[in-house]
Amino acid sequence: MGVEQDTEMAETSSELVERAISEFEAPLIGYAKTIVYDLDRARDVVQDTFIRLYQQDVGKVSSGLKSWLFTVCRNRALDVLRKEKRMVLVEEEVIDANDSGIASPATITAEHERVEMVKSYIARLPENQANAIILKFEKGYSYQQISEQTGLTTGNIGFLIHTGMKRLREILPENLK
Amino acid sequence: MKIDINDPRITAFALGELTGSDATEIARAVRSDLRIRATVEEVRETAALLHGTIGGGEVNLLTSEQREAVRSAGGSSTVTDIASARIPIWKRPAVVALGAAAAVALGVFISQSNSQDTPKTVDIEPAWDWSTVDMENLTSPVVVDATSETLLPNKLEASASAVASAIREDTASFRAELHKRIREQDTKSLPELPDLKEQDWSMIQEDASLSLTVPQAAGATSWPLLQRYIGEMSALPPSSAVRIEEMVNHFSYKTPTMLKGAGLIADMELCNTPWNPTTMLLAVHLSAATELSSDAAATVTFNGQQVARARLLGYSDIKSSAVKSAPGGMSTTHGNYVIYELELSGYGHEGLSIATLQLGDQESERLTVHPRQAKSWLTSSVDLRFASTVTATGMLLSGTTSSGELNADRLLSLLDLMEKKDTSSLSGERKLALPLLKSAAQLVSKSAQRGH
Repeated sequence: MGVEQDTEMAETSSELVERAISEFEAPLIGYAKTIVYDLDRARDVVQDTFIRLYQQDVGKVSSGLKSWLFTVCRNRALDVLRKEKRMVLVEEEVIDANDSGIASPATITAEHERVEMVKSYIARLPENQANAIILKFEKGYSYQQISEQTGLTTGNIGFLIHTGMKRLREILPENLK
Repeated sequence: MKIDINDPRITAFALGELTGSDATEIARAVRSDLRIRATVEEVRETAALLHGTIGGGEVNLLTSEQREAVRSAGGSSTVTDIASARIPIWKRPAVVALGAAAAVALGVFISQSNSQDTPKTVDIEPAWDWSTVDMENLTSPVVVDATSETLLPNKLEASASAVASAIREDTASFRAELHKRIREQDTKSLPELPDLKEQDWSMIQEDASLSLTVPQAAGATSWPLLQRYIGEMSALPPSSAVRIEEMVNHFSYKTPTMLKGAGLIADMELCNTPWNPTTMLLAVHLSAATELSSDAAATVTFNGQQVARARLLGYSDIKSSAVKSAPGGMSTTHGNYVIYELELSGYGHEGLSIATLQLGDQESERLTVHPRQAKSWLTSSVDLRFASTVTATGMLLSGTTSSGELNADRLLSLLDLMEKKDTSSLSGERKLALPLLKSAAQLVSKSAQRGH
């Protein structure tokens, strides 16, 4: 039984990956984006980074997880860049020079309307929940920073964001989800 | 421990705010309890919406499909409680197949190498073992064998999807393997080609003439074969695969304007042979003026008072009349470029013609060429310079006899001259052909050196 208990408590590679996704998904994508300059490619790089984590010895990599993830992510992003450069040479890819990457006025207007609609639904939440959500997603604060800003504990902030987001999911119309 | 579905730690976990043992506990629950996983995914979807709207920026999160693909890469989770779970996106069959396929595809990367700036525990740079992949059906036996029935209901389809994912991941290696397979297949599937018997010289008596029907078509396979052998395999093709007329007529030439008759149009041009001081080259470019009639024919007649002997370059073992309907036949847009090699008798009168091209029965359908019209190779037309250089390459590759001073060095010098002189006119396929012709010359040179 004792052995089984130990095995149960040890973190498996799947659990390590799940934890890594939770903690480092966004920072890794942001980091990869600075190398590959494209969100989709950055996501692909990070997806691959997490998959590679399965191949590692949990005991060895767990303590230096952050360092491992960022190093592999960087290497993969550079690989992608190298491969794509080769492909461009081979394929003589035609780059659409007409695409300036600037959104059209119609797109900008639609996005603006979407933001306003989301804000209107946030406004329907109790004020403390709405405030916590605004600080988290509009200002990009962490739970700790919101705690410092509001004077509430991180536990309280967690509860407010948890219940606020749950309520928001319930009231948001399908076309916004 | 059972985690309550309303536990705020689930939201904190989904938002990356949870660390330590709490994070480990929720991570474990996500792997084992679909309700928790569904809730985490819902929070992430809402977070993505909020980041993308009030956050004012791009959403730095994986898509739910990507996260599921990551999970699948580690094997199927041990789900202990699905009774109250909503139908999450990963339960949809397509997503399961996609995720599993991507997972297995990436899971069977077999070779790994170390990178200097990688932690010691990391073995990255995996590469797909393309040698095991069925390139025609894009399936992998490795994937099929390694996949469980329950995870992949359609194993072949999933296998193909896995290979497709791996192609995206490992494009360079895939291309290399594909090219290798094509080359192997080409080599294996090369038809049995009989040894070619080149066209003999025809001797012409001084008081006679020699009339030859001008071929109206050439085949089309030789140039692509050369591209594969020389361009891709860096190897000399078998001499029996080299057809000079097919090489020459792989390219287009200026539409003839000098002579018209019997539904045909033609040009004729004479120049010295750049690799043989004792012979001349007579080029006849024939094309259809309108829709080609079956009895349209062109004849070239060599005057025995001027020409001691003549031969058609290329068209080995083929009677010229027999190639009329071959692939690559003439049309109004694509003619047939034919080169004859002539050895002049040397005692003919300047005023006597060397050759006469006849398209129909009328006097007006006849074109003659006299010695004074002969040009040096350097002052001949761009078309003749190009066609004769391709001809010289074909002669070298096929081991044509009586080739005068033609060798790899001479061919390379012709190519250099052409490249310098005809830079502005060398475009499209001709420009692409130059490196190949040079490679051919270099391979012949190497082969000759080995022979010595």
